[in-house]
Amino acid sequence: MIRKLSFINKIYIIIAIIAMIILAVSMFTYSKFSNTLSILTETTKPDYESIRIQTVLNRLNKIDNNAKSYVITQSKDYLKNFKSNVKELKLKSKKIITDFSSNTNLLVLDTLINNKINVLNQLILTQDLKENTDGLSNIIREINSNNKSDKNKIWNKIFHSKNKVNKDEVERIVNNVKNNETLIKDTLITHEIKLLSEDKNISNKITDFISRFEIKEKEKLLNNASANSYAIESSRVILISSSILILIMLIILMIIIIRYVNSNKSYKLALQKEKEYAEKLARTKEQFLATMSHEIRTPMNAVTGFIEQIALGPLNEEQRSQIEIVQKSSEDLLYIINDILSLSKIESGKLKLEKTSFNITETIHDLKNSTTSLLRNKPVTLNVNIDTKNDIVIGDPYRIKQILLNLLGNAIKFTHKGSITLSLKELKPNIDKTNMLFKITDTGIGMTPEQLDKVFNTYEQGETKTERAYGGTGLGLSITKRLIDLHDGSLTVKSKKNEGTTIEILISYPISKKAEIPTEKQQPVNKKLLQDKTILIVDDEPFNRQLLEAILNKKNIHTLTATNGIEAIEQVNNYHIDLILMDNYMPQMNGTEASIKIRELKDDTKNNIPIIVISAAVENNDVSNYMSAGVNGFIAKPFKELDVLYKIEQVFEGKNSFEPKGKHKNEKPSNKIDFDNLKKLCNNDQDFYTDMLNTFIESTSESSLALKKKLARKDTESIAKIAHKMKATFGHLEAFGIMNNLSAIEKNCKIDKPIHIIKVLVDDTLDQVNETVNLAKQELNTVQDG
Amino acid sequence: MKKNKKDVNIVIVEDDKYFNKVLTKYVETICDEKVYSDFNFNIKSYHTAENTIQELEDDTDIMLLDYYLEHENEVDLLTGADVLDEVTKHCDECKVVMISAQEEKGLTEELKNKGISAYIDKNINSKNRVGAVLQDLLKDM
Repeated sequence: MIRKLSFINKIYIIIAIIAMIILAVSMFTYSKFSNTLSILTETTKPDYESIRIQTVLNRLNKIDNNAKSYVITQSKDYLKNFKSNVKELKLKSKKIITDFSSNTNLLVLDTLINNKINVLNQLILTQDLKENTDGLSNIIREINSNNKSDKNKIWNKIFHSKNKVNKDEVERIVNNVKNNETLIKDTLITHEIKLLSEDKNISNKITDFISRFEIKEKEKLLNNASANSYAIESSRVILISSSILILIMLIILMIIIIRYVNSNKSYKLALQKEKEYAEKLARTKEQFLATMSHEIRTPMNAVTGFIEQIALGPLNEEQRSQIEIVQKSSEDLLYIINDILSLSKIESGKLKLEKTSFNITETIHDLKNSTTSLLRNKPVTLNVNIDTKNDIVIGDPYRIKQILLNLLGNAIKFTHKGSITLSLKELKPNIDKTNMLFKITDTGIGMTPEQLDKVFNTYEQGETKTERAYGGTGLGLSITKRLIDLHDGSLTVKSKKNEGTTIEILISYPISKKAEIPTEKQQPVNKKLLQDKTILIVDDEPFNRQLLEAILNKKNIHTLTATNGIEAIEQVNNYHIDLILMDNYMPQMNGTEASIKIRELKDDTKNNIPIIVISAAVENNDVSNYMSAGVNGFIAKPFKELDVLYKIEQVFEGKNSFEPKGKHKNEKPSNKIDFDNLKKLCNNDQDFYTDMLNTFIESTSESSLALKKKLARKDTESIAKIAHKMKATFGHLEAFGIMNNLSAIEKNCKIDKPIHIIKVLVDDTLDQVNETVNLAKQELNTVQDG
Repeated sequence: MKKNKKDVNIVIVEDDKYFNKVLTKYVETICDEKVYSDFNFNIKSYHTAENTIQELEDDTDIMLLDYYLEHENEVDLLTGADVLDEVTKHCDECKVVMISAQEEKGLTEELKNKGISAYIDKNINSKNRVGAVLQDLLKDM
């Protein structure tokens, strides 16, 4: 398969090609340049060979001149010069031949020179001979020679004893001599002419040789020049072509970069689209999960509710065991739904930990109680060890319960004999903080190191087959891990296959200053309190209405029903109603809207009927919306009989999870302020305490006045700010009801809720605030009187 | 021999009169010169950003600042952010501790980037938190 080159690789390749071209061109140009340079050096170097040949030729000319001058003038000086020059010339010629041995032509030149010297020598000789043929000397010589020959003759002795010269003889001799002389001279002249011609011949040859030599030199020069121009030309061609090549490469590079940038842009766009799509998908998923949860919880409510009702009735053994199985299965199903929702919430970062004071040892005991039933008939004992000094801490009791329940549930699931120990130990506590070490040890099936690695991953169990054997979504441990992370806690797991598992969780908690937490354990319902009351059940689901009717009628409570908010308001207007159980999601008018409308009724006997919302929408913001609407309590679906009765009882008694806003006759004012904190702060400084009370009264009155003013101007922004500011004061005095109301006001203002809703909240809150101011005034009086 | 005590100037900015006094008292309790014998504490408190900025001294060591400063009578309102800006400009050494309700986590992060040293939720445990933060800051002085 051909893999497409990546952008970076393309760039690397092109850069490498460009670098190679530059390198090759540089090397080529360099070699050409050095060639040209050496040729030029060679050319510009003086030509010693021709210079020396020229010197030899000059010398030869001198010899020629010397010889010819001597022939004409017979001056001995010329002859002398001639001889010395000849000697020197021969030496030079020989030297040239030795120095330039490669040039065989020089031997020819040498031969020619020697020939010329010979001819010139002969010419000189001829000249000397000519000189010697002088007439008088010839005659004397002739006579002398005659005398010599005659001395020996008798005749000469007789007639020439006195050396007398015979005239005829002399004339004859003279004539002879003359003739001889003429003859010799002619011969010599002829010879001389011949020599001269030969000399000329040799000179011509030498000239010829020189001119040929010069032509060769010229050719050599021409060759060098053409080689140079060729080298320069080829370098130029290479340079131009490589420049063009580099240019092309750069253009390609540019195109690649531009294309890359463009494709990057389109990738970016595509990514952006994908991101938006993913976000939309995530929102849809969340919405889907929320809806699904609501949709499942609503029928589940009917299922569990009616099963509970059936279980309470007369049943035979078989039916009871079947009902128990159905109950167990619906509980399991609810766990699974809760698991999925928890994970979804954690993943979307929406899960926030609560910060409330709770008793951690009680939580552990509760856990033991609720999990013991899970052991069923297994030969397993569940032990609890607690070693703490600070039991009341600030944190999220529900989440720590969820963590431990998941882990305990697992331990129970995977332990078939032996024991499970849940221990809690407090480590290094200081004034404000403590570290709680939770340890769950079991003697169960354990895990291999490989399983241990994966066990906290989402949707994974120890082994895929484990899921089939033991059930569960595999989400529990993943949720547990994430919940621990959310607590900034640490988790360590030690496990050995077939020996057991030990899980340790270390979480740090702030220590609560509260001495004890009021227990919210469900007390037996006070039947008298509920008797003869009329409760309106508002729900669009017939099953739910029937279920609630069944629960309430058993307790002799009268019931009325409505299927939506509009019907509910009609019922409220037409009948005397003591309490409303209101579903939230209903057609035409939902529970929140209906509650607001009821609170806005003019009839004081109607607008303060306690309302309890029953809904599967259990998110924090849902609950705070119900609260903002002025309802008195909230029950999550699916609910149990006791949940409903207990909550109704609480509301009738005026103590519930929300601070009551209605003015029901049975309600007690709960906007009590706690001066203890202030007293502690003052540390017995009475003056300061008085001052603080005065400040509280003054500051709160000012804020209340400001709230009223801003409400009249419908200035929600300012209302939000004032409410925000007031929270700190009431927080300090632990008037949490008012604090919650102020939060609700702030929130509703920020989300631009209709002013009439805000008005109800503000008015209600101001009433409570005024009560606290009155309490503060009473306290002030007591202090001052005391 | 008497030691040369180091001056520690603490400024509290909180518009709510009651909570301002509560905070001041907290700080006074924590900054006990019997405990911190090397320090000479000088604690001032203001209710508005205007007053704080007007009176701001460049040798302020610690400032407890309410981010949402609100004052009904002032039209052109300066906020906790303005105070923070002035402090960063003029008091290099000043450690700012932001005090506010916990709703706005994003803002907290933003402020931490702006150089605030710590953040305190306005809740019932403010005293402990103020104590812890102050003790931390005093350790470094």
